[in-house]
Amino acid sequence: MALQGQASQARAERWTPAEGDRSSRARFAIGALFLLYVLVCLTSLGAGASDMTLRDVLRALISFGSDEAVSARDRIILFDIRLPRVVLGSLIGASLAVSGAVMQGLFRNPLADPGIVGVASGAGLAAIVVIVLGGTSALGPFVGVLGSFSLPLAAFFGGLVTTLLLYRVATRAGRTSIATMLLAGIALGAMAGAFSGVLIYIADDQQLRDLTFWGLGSLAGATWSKVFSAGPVIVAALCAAPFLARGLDAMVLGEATANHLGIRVQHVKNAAIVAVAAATGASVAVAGSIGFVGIVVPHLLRLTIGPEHRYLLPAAALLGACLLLLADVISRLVVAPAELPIGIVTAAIGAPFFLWILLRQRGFLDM
Amino acid sequence: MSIDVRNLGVSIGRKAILSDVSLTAHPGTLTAIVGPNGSGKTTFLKAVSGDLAHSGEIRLNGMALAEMKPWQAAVHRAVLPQATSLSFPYTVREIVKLGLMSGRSGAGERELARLPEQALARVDLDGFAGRFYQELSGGEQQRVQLARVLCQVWRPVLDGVARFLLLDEPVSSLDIKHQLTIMEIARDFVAAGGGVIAILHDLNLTARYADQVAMMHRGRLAACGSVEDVLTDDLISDVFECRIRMSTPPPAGAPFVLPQMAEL
Repeated sequence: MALQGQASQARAERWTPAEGDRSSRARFAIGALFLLYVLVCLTSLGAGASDMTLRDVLRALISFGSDEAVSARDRIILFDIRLPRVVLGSLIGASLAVSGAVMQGLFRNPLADPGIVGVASGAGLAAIVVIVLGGTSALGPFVGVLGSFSLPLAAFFGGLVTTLLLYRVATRAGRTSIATMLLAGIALGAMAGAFSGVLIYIADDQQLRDLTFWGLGSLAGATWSKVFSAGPVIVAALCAAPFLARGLDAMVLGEATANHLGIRVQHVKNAAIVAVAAATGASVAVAGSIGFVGIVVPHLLRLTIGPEHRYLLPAAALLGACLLLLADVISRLVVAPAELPIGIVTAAIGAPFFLWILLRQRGFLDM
Repeated sequence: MSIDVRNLGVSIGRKAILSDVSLTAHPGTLTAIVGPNGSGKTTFLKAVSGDLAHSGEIRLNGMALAEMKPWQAAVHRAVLPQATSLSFPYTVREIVKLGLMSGRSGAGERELARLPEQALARVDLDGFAGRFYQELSGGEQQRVQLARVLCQVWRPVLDGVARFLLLDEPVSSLDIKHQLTIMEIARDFVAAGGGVIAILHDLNLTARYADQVAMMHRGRLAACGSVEDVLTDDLISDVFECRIRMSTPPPAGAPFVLPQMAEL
């Protein structure tokens, strides 16, 4: 009897989360977000200038397009236009949100985001260099060898260089100053903008058309070839992120303390910087700069499931993908049959949200 | 087994912050580091924690600290910094649990699940597990960090090897009751076979709890030995640059409070 009582007590202890332990809530949230993601995908596949019912979408998907009940036109729209767009949107949404979360962990600051601190501008500059100067004798051979990977790779190195510069400027003796970081981000962004301006000035008409979408950020050009050129880089960065979770948690207490806890801080920092640059660079290369997803998503999640990175990072990937796909649906519907660049939608939603975070955290910012 | 420091020197730029400090901290002893502001106490502890480039040699349980990987050092010692602020909304429990990261707390599997709660109870923060760290007072935050540090080396002796607590001003922002609570924790850790090195500002607490006192002065070790040997009128007056006489009550009628007279 006593043994049984002990056993049931032990079971109860196992199943009731301890106070302050949000891991079961976080696991539940990740499950719910996954379901939401599936729903959003289906919505996004069905919505657009040519409406498809959920049934048509499901039938076409399950039969891999061989079901004759779905018209050929709908199949082409689904498999060659909407599906790559949904895949690319998911990858980019996840990459933006995870990059934001990792960078915020690295800088120990909820306002660090590749879009705000100039990393996206640096990646964009490198992409513009490839587009405008890709045909010249200096860069031609590289672009010829790398083919469609040259753009994401260039954007990756652009992002990497910017992140490293930012880290060097903003961090002194292991402490990252938020004011320096934001100001350095503005300066780096302005520098990248100036060089981009020069390149745009010398670009020809065709190049100008290619360049236009960078300023706005859009998924409109989504094709399978873009998915395959940026996808591997983004997937690799996303797969690396969970391995950083432990280190990022420890670094929340400061780099010295993380070291005392047994973390190889320099390794974590290097890996985090490379992952952020890769994910941001690849996203910028295919979709231009899409702002605020990287700030809004991790912040919302920290409020609900807590800041522990082993839950935050996967949840951010899912919620980031959901948000970007929803913003994409909105961008396609509000001015149908034309569409709004998605960067406008995320900025319209994200910028006020960013202001709200600033107002809530005024106390912290003064540190 | 010990923390063995030989001819330690630390320079920042051209300026020597520490020079020629030698000190051995054995298991079973509480070593207090005392000295005026800027005498090099924190620099010494940071070097021993492995945070600073230095000359001379630091050996942790026989191994050269410079050659140990972070996770190896994490098994042998845990470090409490002066103050830790956070920019993310972690709960107290989540912070304390970070101490278990090295995986060598020494607690049994059953005990492990409730170790954060136990550690919190130990620092008199029962029931604080669900609170947000950022919302606590400075003294409470410091005790949460101590609970985290205790989790890392929960058993003072693991597999026959003594472990060490390095505490940088563990009682600086605490009221007198909690100063005593924390010092009792340090004393229990020592009694169970571990070792403690703590920077203390309060000479009365030092006199009451320390087994060994290291007195720093201008980056050097002015004296090191038992409480009786180091806390003398001459040495204190010299190092702290004011005239003090030990164990002398103030003139009749003037109030004074000593931790030596307190009971928990």
